[in-house]
Amino acid sequence: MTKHMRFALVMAALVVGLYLSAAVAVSVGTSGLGFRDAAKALLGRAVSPTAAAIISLRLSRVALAMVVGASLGAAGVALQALLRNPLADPYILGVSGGGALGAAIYLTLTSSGMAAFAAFERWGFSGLTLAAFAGSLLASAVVLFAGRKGGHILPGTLLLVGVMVNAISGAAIMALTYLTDVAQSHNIVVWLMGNLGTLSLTRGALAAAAVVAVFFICGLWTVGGRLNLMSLGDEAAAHLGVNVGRTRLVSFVLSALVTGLSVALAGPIGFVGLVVPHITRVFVGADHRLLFPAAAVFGATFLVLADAAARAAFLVFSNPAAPEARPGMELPVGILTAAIGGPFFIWLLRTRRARYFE
Amino acid sequence: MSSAIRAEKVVFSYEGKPAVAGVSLDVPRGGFVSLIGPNGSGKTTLIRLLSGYFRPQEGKVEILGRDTARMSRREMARTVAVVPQETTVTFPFTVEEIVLMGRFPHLGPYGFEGENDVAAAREAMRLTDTLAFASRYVQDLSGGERQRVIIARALAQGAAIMLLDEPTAFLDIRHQVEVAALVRDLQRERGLTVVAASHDLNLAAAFADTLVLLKDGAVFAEGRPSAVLTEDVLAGAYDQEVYVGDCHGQPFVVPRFRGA
Repeated sequence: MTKHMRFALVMAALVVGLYLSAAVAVSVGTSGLGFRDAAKALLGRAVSPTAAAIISLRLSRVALAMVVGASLGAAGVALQALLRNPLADPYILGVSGGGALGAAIYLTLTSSGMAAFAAFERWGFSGLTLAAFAGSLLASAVVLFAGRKGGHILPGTLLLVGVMVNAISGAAIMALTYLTDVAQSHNIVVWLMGNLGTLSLTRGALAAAAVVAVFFICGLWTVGGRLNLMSLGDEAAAHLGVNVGRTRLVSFVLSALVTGLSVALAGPIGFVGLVVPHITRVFVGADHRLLFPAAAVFGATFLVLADAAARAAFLVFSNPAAPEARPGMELPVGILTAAIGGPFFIWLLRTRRARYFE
Repeated sequence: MSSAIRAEKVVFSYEGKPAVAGVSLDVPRGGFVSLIGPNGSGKTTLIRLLSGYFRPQEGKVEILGRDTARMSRREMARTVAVVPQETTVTFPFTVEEIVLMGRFPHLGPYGFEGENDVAAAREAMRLTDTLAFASRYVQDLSGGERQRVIIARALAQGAAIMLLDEPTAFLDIRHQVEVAALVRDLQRERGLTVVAASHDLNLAAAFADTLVLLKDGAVFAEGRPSAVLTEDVLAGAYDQEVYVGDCHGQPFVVPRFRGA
């Protein structure tokens, strides 16, 4: 029971942390908006019309950071368990490579005189988002089919096939970046860094993406107990009544979908999916039934804060006389995730005993 | 109906290579059977067939009178617990969490342990003398302690039958005896049915009621330890001359070294 008490406390703290970081993120920007106003508005209290307008503008971006961060946190937990490898991250099975290739092909097409592509959108998502999502799913399907032998998913084979698919996609992306014009190749490079700035979807589409992401994360949560047993080995799990093959398939498919979604929405933002599961494990322990929800909320917090830091850094380094609205001139959050997360993780490794790196 | 396990001419091949070629076995309830035999004689495959991890390609296995082909994974897990040679755990789980994993086949759809699951795990830890390190990480335990934790997990499963696959292979003499004695006490005091594969003939002879000696996937000899552990039978099974001695009525086996 104490374990559940501790989990409830950690979850409560994480939710409060998410709320506070959202308020911080909303209040970062050139137009002055206090943290208090932001915190009040997020609780639904009345604020001045100007403040409300600014908050409304920035909130979409914060919400996107939450969706992407939660997705990456949960998918990282799933892949580390699925591959039984603490160095795994959500991108290792080819999802990011495929998504990036889809995005690169789309960006190349828009530059080569096919303007029709540039304006394409469907269901409130931009053509770029849809192309990246399609690429992610295609790559995942290839990895799933090539990573099976005799109807079984073999983690080792799956891992190697995933790394190969990423490498092949990487080669194709390099070719496209090299062959396309300079402006488009810059767009491809910036997209590859991972970016929450270019909001390329409607609010309705964002809400739909959030609902779908929560649905997939809850799906992963339901196999948490089985993933616990699978960390004792396939045979031990099977002896305890787990259908190992089905559990693996479910966790692969759900994590591929949720990762593909986040790559499509924000590009392959690095590091979150690797480090969030580890940091969360230090505080809630290894039990996947607790780890999934905790890593999702912590992942959301982490990315919201990283993006706020990215925007704050841009404010500091940019010309204060220049107005805020210069689209495309924001620091991609992908630069910040590793820059903040890396030192923090090293500090954590040195203060707490990191059992799984011995 | 007094059989805990009945195997009838079970056959299992890996890609055409027979590993178990028509073994019949009858383990009475509350019995302690040791499977012995040379490397590749089919001990591990037979354990996997008895546990339901493999389905026999021919023949059938009955557990407590029921055909295992008709039992679900969950039912099997509530009836048969398995202790492997060694367990490596990927993530930092505590001993108590590992033991609680044994309750998985009893959990409801909600998937979290209730009070009786915690009580069952505590009782299993008390019986295996592992309560003292309940909150430690398995990775920090010695081989002997870890094996006791895995036995606790198997006990928490609440199964009437425990299958062990060379549970003492990586342990020193003291911990070999400790683990074997623990299993024997559980068998005697709690009516557990035990089938243990072992390479250690002396340990098998000391703790089992019945030895089943396998060779090339078939039963080569079967019976009380003193009937199976004879110089002729062992030389035939292992292609190795041995000396069989007697220590207070219990046979012990020493290989004869060439040139020694």
